Amino acid sequence: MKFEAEEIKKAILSGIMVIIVLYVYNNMLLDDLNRREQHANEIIGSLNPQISKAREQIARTALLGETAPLDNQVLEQIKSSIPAGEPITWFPPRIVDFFKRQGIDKVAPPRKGTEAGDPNMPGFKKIAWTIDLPRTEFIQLGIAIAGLENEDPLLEITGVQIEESNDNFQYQHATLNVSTIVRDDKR
Amino acid sequence: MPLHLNLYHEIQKQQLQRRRDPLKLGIYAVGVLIALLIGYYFYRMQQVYDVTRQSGQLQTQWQSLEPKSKDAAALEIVLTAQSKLKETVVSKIDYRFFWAPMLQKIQIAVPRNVQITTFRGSFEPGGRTGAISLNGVAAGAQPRKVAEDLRTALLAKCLQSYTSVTSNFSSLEDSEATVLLDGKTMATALFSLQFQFTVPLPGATPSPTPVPIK
Repeated sequence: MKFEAEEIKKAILSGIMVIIVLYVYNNMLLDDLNRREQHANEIIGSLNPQISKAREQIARTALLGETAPLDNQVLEQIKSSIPAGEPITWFPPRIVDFFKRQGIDKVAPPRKGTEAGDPNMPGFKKIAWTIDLPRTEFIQLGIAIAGLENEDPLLEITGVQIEESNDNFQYQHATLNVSTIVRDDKR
Repeated sequence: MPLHLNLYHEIQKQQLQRRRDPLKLGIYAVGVLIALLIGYYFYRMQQVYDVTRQSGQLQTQWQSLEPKSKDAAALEIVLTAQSKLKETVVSKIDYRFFWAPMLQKIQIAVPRNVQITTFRGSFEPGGRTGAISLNGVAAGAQPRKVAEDLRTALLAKCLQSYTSVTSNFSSLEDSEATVLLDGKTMATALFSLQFQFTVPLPGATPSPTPVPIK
């Protein structure tokens, strides 16, 4: 089959038409769709991990929230066991009363030592005290110390010194270094 | 052979030309192509619509979750701090060193022919290690042995409750003084004993340090 010049022209024209149609189709229609799809995929790609993280965060907080009332209750219990006011006003009389109840009458009022906050315990601070018991007996002192350690959970004895009493060999002279956790109203 | 004249040859030629007209064939081809392209376009449009709808749903979801997540993060900081504070305070209460049991051990370990003149004990606040020192007078036929017996007895008592217990005499001297015990005059020795110990964490058992054989 032999094409004439007119037919070749028409064939070329048809080819050009096809190319134009494809160009318009690709650039004006498909490209726009592709851009929209890419944009949507980018949003999905970025939001999916964010949503997962947010869900994890909410779940984690909910889990913490379950134990929070118990934690709060314990803290409130601890706080309520600490008398209000400056510790120097209530701690020495309380200690003197305690040892008197234990049968140790000669008790010098505790001397206040260093006072330090703890970054791990906001709202609380530790105060060191020295308790002097000029006349006590070893067994009686041991029982009193056991009572003190059981009665006051916020008190920790950091040092104990027991010596012969100079005036009476029946008795001992004891010095206790203690540390108490108290409320820190400034923090 | 009879002569055959085709009087329609020109019409037939025109018909043949019309049938294979490249422009017409091209238009047909383009028509089919356009139909295919339109079909594909709608197919892609549906795909893109699905993806766009999914992205819209996620955006809506995120808009409602984001403030909740921010609130939860802020609340988590508060709750974590509260929980940590409670743990710290409770651990300080639970892990205190109790001196009464230590004094009881000393009271049990000291025999009647030993007099303790000075007891000093210290415990590192918030730590697990402590130290005690005992100064005293031991009386007996062999007062040094009496002092050594006290050291081993107290060491054995301490090993029941504490770990890494070490003990040593910082001084042990014979004294010229004598004491009268049970009607007998006995020689005396002045001693100074030191003990170091570690309190095991709750649940941990004391290390099986062997008691020195007398």
